[in-house]
Amino acid sequence: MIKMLVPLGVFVGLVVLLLISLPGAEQRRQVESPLVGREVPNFSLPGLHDPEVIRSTADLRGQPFILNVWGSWCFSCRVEHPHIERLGREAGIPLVGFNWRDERQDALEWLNQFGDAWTFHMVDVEGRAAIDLGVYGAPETFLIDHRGVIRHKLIGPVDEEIYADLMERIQEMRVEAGS
Amino acid sequence: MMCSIRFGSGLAVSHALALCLCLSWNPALAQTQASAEAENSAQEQSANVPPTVQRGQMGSMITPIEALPFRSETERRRYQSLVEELRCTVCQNESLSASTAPLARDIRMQVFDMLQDGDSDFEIRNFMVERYGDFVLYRPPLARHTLLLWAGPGLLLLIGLMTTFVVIKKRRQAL
Repeated sequence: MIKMLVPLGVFVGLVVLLLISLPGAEQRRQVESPLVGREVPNFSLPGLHDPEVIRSTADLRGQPFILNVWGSWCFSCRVEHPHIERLGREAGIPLVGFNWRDERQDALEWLNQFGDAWTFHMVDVEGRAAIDLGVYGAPETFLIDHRGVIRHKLIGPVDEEIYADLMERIQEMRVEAGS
Repeated sequence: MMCSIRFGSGLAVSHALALCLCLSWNPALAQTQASAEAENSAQEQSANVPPTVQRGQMGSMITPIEALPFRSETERRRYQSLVEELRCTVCQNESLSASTAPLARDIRMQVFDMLQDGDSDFEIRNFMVERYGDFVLYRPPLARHTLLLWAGPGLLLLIGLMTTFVVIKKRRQAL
């Protein structure tokens, strides 16, 4: 009798193991970034409105900031745009746009149409800086603290819930920075 | 080769062709088979499959590799094996070499440039892991959290062998 229960036991054990170890659909899509907790890579890129101005991530050292990867070709960026605008108004720290693999003209028209709440934009046409950032799709949002450490990385569009979570984290970073 | 065998009936020929299609995973092999089939169809009216159709079907297996100015054959081979074992992060179930996504192209260029700069395969793989995590490697590293993955098959084999041994021994004793 006990012997007959062995296959059932093995089956139940397997089910439990799979339930524990198989990530949910949501988790599976998210590639955890090894960059969280590490310093933001240093790169210098031209501006969008002001291509003659070259800015680098090191220039922002000393204050927390948000880095938002977007492109005019990216549909989800349009979806998250209202929330990004709110971040720009309410976060109280610089909101840096990372314009990824875009045409300057398209990007400018996009901003004209939907609104430009970013403090400034860095333009990465070739996508090299994006590889350094471990970007694998737009939109992505990074939170970087005053020491230049990446504290959080969000893949995908910001929604109401995520917005609240981001604001909480931003408050934390602001307190740490003493601003 | 399969395709050069002559068949009496048209049905057999079409079956053989279907088999050839299945067998020709290798694009280089596909080329020779396509030409062999072209000869075949010239000899036999019933084998009426134009080689172009077959090349079209092979098309999906040919990887979108750019023509890059490699300095040597070794460098080309190193590039090839690197882009095959690195995963495209946007289209998670494709290798870098197979993907047509813009990001995959960017990363391929990055790999090429690093090769040109004289970086080792280890350095290039490390560069990717630092940015995208272990996830980019199709061959996961041997670490504590992957121990079960690597040791699993051997462990299962061992359990199976032990069970077999015990069962055989018990049955022998029962005789």
